[in-house]
Order: sequence, then C-alpha cells, then structure tokens
Amino acid sequence: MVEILYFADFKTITNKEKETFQSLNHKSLIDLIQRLIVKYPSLEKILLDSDNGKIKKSISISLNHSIIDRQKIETYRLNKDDKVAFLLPVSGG
Amino acid sequence: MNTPNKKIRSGIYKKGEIDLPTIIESIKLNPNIKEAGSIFSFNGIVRETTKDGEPVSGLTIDAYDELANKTISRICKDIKQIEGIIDIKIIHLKGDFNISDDLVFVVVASAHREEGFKALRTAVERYKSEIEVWKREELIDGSSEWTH
Repeated sequence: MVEILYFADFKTITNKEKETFQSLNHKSLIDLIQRLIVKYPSLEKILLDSDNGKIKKSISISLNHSIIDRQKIETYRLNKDDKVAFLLPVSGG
Repeated sequence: MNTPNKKIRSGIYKKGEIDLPTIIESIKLNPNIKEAGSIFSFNGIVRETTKDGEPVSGLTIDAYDELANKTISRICKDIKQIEGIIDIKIIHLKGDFNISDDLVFVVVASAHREEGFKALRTAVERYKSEIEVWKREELIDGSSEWTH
C-alpha cells in the first residue's frame, strides 16, 4: 500500500491531504503518475511536459520525506509503505 | 502562545502558535547569548496585494512539515557556521491568514551588527526559495491560485 501526500495544487485538485493506492508494489513512479492522472485528469498538465510526456523538470518527488534524485525517478520501484509526494516550486510567505 | 522561558525550535508552526517576543525570549536562553551584541528580526506579514498589485482578501499557507523542518534546520545550521553568529531561529506559520497577519519570523543573534545584517538577509532569501511551503492568495473577486 503506497501513500500519496498532497500539497498545494495537488490538495486542491484531489480535495485530499493524502490517499493510499493498492497494488503498486514494485511498480514505477511513472506507473503511479499514470494511475493518478486516470483518477485526476487535471494533474496531467501539472505533472507532465506536454512536449515529450515526461515528468516536468519543475516537479520534485519526495520519497519517505526525502527528495529523490532526478536520475532515480525512472528506475525507482515502489515498496509497500512508501510515502510519495509531488512538489511544485515553493512559495514561502 | 508558547510558555515563556521555553526553548523554541525553528520550524513550521500553526498560525497563532508562536509570536516574535516568545522567539526573542527563547534566543536569549542560548548559553552563549552574552557574546551577542545585537538581535535582528524579520517579520513577514500578509500584504494587501499580490506581486502584480491585485487586491487580496487573505491567503493560505500549506507546508510539507517533515521536509520543511529538515530544510529549515539545514539553513539554520549553515548560518550558525558563520563567524560571529550566536544563534538563529526561523519560524514559518501555516494555515489561513488575513491581511497583516504574521507569516514568518527570522531572528538572528550576532556578536556585531555587520554579520547580523548579512546573516538575516541570507536566511530570509534562503527560506523564501528553499523551504517546502506553498502560498495561495485569495483575490477580492473570489478567485484564488497557488503561487510558484
């Protein structure tokens, strides 16, 4: 069971603070994103670059409260109990 | 507000949970405070317009507490390495805010004013661009948008 944490735009679009997804063990982050987009189509334009379909460079991904290196995004395989968050550029007060 | 004489940790707090006098009081509890000749403070508050001048009725701050607290700790650790800096606290509030409400406090104690001014500015610029916090401005016309 993978837990997704939602912040800012993600929280507004999903109307949730967090959500769990079943059957994602050993799947990739790209699989997770595809699953999210099916459920919340508005996330596509936030997460994916319309030119090449890849994850936008402005998006950071946090795994278990640490930012994952961009090089690892495509190869990482989700583990049960992973906590994932997609982060847009910050805007402190 | 927090109990006086209690050491305050830098990090994310809920709106109204902490105020500037409490933070200054806390920084004065540092065992090395006698080496300080100055305490500088920055207090970010809610402006009545966006950067583009559109009128705002309020704003919301969302935070990824676990990551933001780590980032704040890293900034504070870096600043404390600077010669002459005795202590620093960075507090960012989260929740729903009205115009002029407190949003952020940065407090620096330094041996001399020169390094204190510089460290305060560095800390403010870094928290603005590094900590995992997001702002949504509520416009007078009822619309709202997260800013990035």
